[in-house]
Amino acid sequence: MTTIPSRLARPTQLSASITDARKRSIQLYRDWYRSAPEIVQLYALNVSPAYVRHCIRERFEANRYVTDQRAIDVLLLKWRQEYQETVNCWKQRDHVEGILLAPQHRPQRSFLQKFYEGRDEDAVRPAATGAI
Amino acid sequence: MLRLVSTASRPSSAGRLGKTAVPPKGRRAFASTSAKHADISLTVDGKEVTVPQGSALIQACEAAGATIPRFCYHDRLAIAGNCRMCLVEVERSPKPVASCAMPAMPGSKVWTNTPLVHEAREGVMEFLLANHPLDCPICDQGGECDLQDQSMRYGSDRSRFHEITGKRAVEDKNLGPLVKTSMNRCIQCTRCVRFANEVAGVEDLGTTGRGNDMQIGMYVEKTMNSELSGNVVDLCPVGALTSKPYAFHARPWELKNTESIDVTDAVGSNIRVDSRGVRVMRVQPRTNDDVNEEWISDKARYAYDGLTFQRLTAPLIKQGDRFVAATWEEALSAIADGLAKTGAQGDEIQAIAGHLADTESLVALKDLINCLGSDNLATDQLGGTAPPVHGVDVRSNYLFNPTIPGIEQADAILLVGTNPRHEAAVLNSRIRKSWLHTTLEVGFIGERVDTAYGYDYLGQDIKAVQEFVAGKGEFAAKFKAAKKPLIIIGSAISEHPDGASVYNQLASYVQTHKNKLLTPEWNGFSVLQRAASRSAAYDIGFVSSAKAAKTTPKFIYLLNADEVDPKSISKDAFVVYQGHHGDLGAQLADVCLPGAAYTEKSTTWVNTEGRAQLGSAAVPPPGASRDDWKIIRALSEVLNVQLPYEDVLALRDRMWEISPTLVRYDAVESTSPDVALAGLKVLVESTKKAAFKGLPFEKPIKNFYMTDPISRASVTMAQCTRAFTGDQESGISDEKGLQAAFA
Amino acid sequence: MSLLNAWKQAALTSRSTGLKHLITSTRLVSSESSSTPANKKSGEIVTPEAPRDVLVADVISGAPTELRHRPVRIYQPTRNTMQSGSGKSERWRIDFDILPGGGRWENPLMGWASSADYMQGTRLSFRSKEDAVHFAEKQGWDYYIQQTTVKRIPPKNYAENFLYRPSKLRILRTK
Repeated sequence: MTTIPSRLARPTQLSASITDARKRSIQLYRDWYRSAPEIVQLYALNVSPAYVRHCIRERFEANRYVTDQRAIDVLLLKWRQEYQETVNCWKQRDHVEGILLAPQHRPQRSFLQKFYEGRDEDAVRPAATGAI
Repeated sequence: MLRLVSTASRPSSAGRLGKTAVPPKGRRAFASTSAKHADISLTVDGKEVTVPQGSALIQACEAAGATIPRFCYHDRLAIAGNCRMCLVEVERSPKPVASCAMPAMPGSKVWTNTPLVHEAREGVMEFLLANHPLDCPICDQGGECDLQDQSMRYGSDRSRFHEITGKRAVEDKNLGPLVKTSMNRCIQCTRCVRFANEVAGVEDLGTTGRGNDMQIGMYVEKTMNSELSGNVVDLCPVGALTSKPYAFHARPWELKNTESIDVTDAVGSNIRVDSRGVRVMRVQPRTNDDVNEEWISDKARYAYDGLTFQRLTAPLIKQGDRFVAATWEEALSAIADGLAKTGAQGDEIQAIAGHLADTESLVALKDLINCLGSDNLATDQLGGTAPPVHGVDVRSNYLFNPTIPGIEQADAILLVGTNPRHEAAVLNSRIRKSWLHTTLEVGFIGERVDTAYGYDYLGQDIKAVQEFVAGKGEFAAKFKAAKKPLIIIGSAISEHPDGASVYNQLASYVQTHKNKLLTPEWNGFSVLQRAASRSAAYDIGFVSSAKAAKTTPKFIYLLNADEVDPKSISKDAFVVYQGHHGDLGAQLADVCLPGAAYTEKSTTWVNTEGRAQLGSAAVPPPGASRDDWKIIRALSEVLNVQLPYEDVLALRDRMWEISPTLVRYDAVESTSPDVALAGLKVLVESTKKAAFKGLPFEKPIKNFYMTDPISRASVTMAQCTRAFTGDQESGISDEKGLQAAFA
Repeated sequence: MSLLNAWKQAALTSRSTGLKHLITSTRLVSSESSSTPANKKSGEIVTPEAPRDVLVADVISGAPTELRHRPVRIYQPTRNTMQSGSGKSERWRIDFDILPGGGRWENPLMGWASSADYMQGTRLSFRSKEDAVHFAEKQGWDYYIQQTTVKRIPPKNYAENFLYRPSKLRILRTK
């Protein structure tokens, strides 16, 4: 199915104040939250909409303490773009699973586990298991 | 007379000799004793610049920010003025002037950008390239060649060379296994000649013939037998002198440069490790006038190929007479089992630190051993299990107190039981520099060696020390009359049976003459260490108490310790070796844990002056090796005495608690004269009853090229041993010798 | 006072309190990891420690968060001793420390160097130290500033080659 390029598009907007930024981020969160069942149905995902909402929440929580207004504006811009791309079905399933639904936090490992593994897992997320 | 300006002239973005800058934190600015210069000012390219009087014009131009091309001029060598590339135009001068040879005159106007200068440079370039072979594709210097860069920038774009007879050809000279010569490419700048004459002290290189037939060489078939010979490779602006072990291996643009610290001796020379992929390709020096100027010794430069041989890459457990590779879990639990089986309690657990142990792992190991209830820490020198003679309570008792740049201020030096040429080659070149340019007098007590300068030979044993202290002899009189005398005691003295009495004699001498030897500006009592880890070990107190030294250890932890005496380790002791090479220590061990070598870990090294410097990892450690301090931390967890730090910052916090000097990098914390005196008093008291046997002092390093596991595993160092020490047997294994029992 | 405590104090007063965030986050990771790795339930959302102020660029650049755990070295590269030109040594560079275990290893297929480290070939150049520091702070990297090496070139002149010294000759100047 085709969509027009400007479906769900928003012009770039700088927040007037921190409360304005807060309002916009809550609006964005609302849009994401309400689109969760649609995303699951659109990409035929194997997870429940509740899980998608959980992931959305995780991503918003990760940026909870950003106070710099410029950073908030950029984040809003980028995630608004993501929203448009996701809901317009311009992405593919792997994109959604890899970017939106990927687990954010890896299990904490003890020093000894990291030592035996050889890698400092906090500092790298290897693409492949690699050699020793 | 060459004036040595000791107030720092820091490089600024304006050029090399800017205004004097504030000394960095941690270093007190002492009043300089060198003569003050009047500053003169002149105009370079319309810019007014002020330089000390007596500077060369090229230095004034550099200070103004104008880059002057040069081939024969070098900041640290005498001026030759034979390449003519540094020509600049000076007002009211009929010809362009060689700026390196012309002193800067006040009020002169200099231009470095005029058409005359451009034509002069093009002309010089043309002449240099006329007889220069078209070797760029096969020349090692390609990509970092002065001739290439300067011909691209200042030369003309087309050649006028139409000689039917072709270019001049010159025979290659054999300078040894380190320096590859290709004398066709030589442009006769004579930098190598001046370096060999002035800095290295081997006055063998020279020029033969003149004009077109001039050749640089030895004139006789001779190798360049100097421990600083590798530096001519850096100096040579073209590819005439290149590095033989590195020949045809890599191009400079594919190398990744990492700035680090050298550990083959205790000078802590600043190096830049060039690596490609997982391999170290070469080691270059870094300029640091406080430590190594611009030179590094041959061992520092060429021992890197030992990093690829005889490496421990997996934990090994001894089963019978063979080593079996194991996983880390198995190895650490084997150590825990071994410790429990020997039933070692308290001081029966011993740790021995070797030459290449880094400060972080020394701290971690000391913490671990102390947590296990032991105080038995040793270093791997002769008599290392006992507390050292000089004591470790006061830093000035075991460090090189005047600091390395301070050597240049000394006007009388007494060397006791040390061969600085082999123990600290770059330091030796500084003594030589001072000897050449000032009226320095050097006295020598110990086994007669060829240092690169002349000395008064006083004797070989404690009797000579006693005579000196009593004031007998011409040198003692000269020493007394000196304004800044310096005593350098070698590290071999602390291993010698007469060491305690030597320290006693010299410390009392310093106490008596403290008005000259221990002033706020000058501390003339110094000890020259030869192991990179020794100063750090003493700083953190990695020594045993007298009581602990008497117990026979049942569990021994060797941390890079390869100079231990195998006979001192009892048969039923459980030995763990942590290191990176399969050298002597690994043969003695029951469990081998692979650590990282100095190019593979970012750790702190404290040099003989007490200057903490941070090395950097250039390549990752091979196989299953880990960082040394992490191994000790993991072992502590397995042994249920978990150490409190989990990352290197927390460990450095711990180091800060032990001694803040360990984390204040690149600065020397000098000891005040009162504290130094107190330290000497303690030293004299503790060595009062020492008896002496009158044995001669022998030099501690028999073979300069093989003093640590890395250089012993290196093929280049074996070739050097064969070439330079006349030892034909080294490097060739025979079946009768010990075979390493590796699986 | 511990070194890191002193550092935290300095970070509190400067604008880049993101450093504090980093310090606490790295501290948090390392101290927590030993004690309770199993207590976190898999579905629990973990919010990061609340810092005062988060830096701008590391949140929005899209760089992986693992990068914040890696220290960076700010230094002026030394002059290549093989050449006389010192052009490259006026700039300041940011270089990443090698990744333990993932930096480079020999690929079994061809023996070339493989790497899991996406920053291993990245060297950023800056005109001044302050620029480099500002960039590192902006990106949220821990940095270590290496002191510039000391260079002391004495004034040189050609007449030293011919100076008369009344004492015994110590070097024959033959060129």
